[in-house]
Amino acid sequence: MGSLLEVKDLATYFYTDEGIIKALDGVSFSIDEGEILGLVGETGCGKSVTATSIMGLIPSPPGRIVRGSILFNGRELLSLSERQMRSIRGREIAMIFQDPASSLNPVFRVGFQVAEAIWAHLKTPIREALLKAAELFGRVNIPDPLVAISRYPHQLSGGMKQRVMIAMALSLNPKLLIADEPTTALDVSIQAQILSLIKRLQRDYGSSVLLISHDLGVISTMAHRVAVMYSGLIVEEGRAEDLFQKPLHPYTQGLLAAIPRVDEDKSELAVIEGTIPDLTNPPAGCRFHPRCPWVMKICEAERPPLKAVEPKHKVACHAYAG
Amino acid sequence: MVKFIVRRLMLLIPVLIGVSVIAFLMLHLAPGDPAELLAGLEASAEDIAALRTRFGLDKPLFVQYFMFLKGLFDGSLISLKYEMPAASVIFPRILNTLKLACASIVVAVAVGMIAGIVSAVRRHSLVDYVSTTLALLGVSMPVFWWGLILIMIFSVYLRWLPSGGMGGLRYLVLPAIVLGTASAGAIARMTRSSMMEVLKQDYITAAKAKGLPERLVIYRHALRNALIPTVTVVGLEFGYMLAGAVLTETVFSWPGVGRLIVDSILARDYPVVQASLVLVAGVFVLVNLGVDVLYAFLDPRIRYD
Ligand SMILES: Nc1ncnc2c1ncn2[C@@H]1O[C@H](COP(=O)(O)OP(=O)(O)OP(=O)(O)O)[C@@H](O)[C@H]1O
Ligand SMILES: [Mg+2]
Repeated sequence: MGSLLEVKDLATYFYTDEGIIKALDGVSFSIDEGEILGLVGETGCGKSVTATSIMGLIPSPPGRIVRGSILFNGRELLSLSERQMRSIRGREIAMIFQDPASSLNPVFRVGFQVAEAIWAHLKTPIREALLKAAELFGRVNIPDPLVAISRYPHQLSGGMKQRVMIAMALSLNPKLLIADEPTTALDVSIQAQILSLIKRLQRDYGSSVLLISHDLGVISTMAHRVAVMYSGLIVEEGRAEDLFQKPLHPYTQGLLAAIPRVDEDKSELAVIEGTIPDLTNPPAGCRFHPRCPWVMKICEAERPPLKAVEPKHKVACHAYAG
Repeated sequence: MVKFIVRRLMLLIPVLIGVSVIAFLMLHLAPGDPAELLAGLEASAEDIAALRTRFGLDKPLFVQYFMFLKGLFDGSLISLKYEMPAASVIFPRILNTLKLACASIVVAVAVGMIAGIVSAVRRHSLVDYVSTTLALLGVSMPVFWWGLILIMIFSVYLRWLPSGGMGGLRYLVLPAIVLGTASAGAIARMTRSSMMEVLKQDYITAAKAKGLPERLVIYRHALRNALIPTVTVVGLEFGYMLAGAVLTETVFSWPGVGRLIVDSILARDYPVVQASLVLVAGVFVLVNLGVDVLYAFLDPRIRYD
């Protein structure tokens, strides 16, 4: 199967009063059709900026995509007009957000908010769109769909709100679903339900998913392939089993070592020596070198390219140069 | 919704009782004998005694209070200056004030909201700077000065509009602009800041991510939320227009209740002052109720709690 999404050398900067924040500085990865790609990394490394860059929703000012390419289904998204981009948003690429409590508009009924997404693209009369919304609510296991469509967000639990968001995202049967930390804001017991729902729907609809998380546990249960992000760059990418069994990059190894044992339910990314680099003034050469246990002379001077060192397993590290 | 309104109406009762007690006590809290106060400086001892009986000032305080309340409604509370029921003096004046306040708030809301929205949507643009500067000027413009400037331009030089008095719609234009200016500024500032706050919210990004056109994201999703805090300001401004229009009324010789209160205070017409306070407070709380209802209409979280 071919790639549905191909991101190449994507760089997104924020021009703020404190300086230029290089949130993404040459991100490359691809997602195949029907595949779940997990994107992991510490907080602030640029995962959400990657998602919003693909959606064409970088707030501007202060943000701007300064270089790179985003090929979606063979089309260059970065050269589309706002109008063309709008017809892709929600219809071909849909997004689920981290916090369902804040991503639904508090003053509109949830059914209307889903129906509106359908109406925006198909101009379906709103009554019909509402029925479609109810049907979608059924699919994402919201009880009493016909009652639920006339609820306001504050009348639903967090898990239910996220189901509404998923229903909305799936309403137009998108080719690509971007899920930015879809379970982080939810109770642990609800997390598993939502994840299995996403997985089931992904199979039923045959969509591709970009699953963003800082939780390696979530990624390992869901993703076919994994990309590890560090300070605005992808440092390692490979099939989930390869990456988890034999991590190549010292950062990935650190992440995996920092996971608490399986009997503990939380597996947040924790302690790796050193601090996350300042994105305004990132370290020269390899951005990880100040924290790297293997640091060599070349690491301070040259940025290592992301390249395959094993079949379908890429890493950006000078240690694998030979 | 009906339950909500009934509950709010019930809450009005204690407020009105409170205001009427304060208005009533005003006469009694002033130093000296209320009868002497009412009679004025040159009154003889007999005059004072006559007044004391006429106003029941020899009765216990709470009896007097109920007489005052009763007088408010049955017309037995008589204006000293106009020699007619205080309520009949006040009522037409309140209507005039309401007329002016309604016209002003329409001006203020229309100008203020449009300026605020445009500012927020195109923030840090030239339009934004111009509009925020004008808003600041608006809230700090002295009413007297602004009123006279407008009279000079539109009545004296251009002769387009009358400089004062009451009559058709033409008479309303200048006072409505003058009274509405400060409120327009306040509303513009509030709309701008609440709109900017709302535009940062996740649900705005989510609405864009659905593929909704910008226009709908702003006017449906953002504005509806931004209106909630703005409505509070509109209510406050409207209240201020009811009670604080004295300056505008004076500049334009508009026979409103603000001027009536000031004139009555100067003329020691205590019954009118007292009754005006109660009636203005009544209108005020009704306006507040209106704001609350609008609030509940805009925000389902209030409606359904
Ligand atoms: N609107 C913005 N203005 C300025 N800087 C921004 C903006 N949005 C993001 N950034 C910067 O971009 C960097 C990456 O942010 P991003 O939200 O992508 O992190 P993340 O990997 O999603 O983190 P988290 O796990 O906390 O969600 C951060 O340093 C942040 O300060
Ligand atoms: Mg994020």
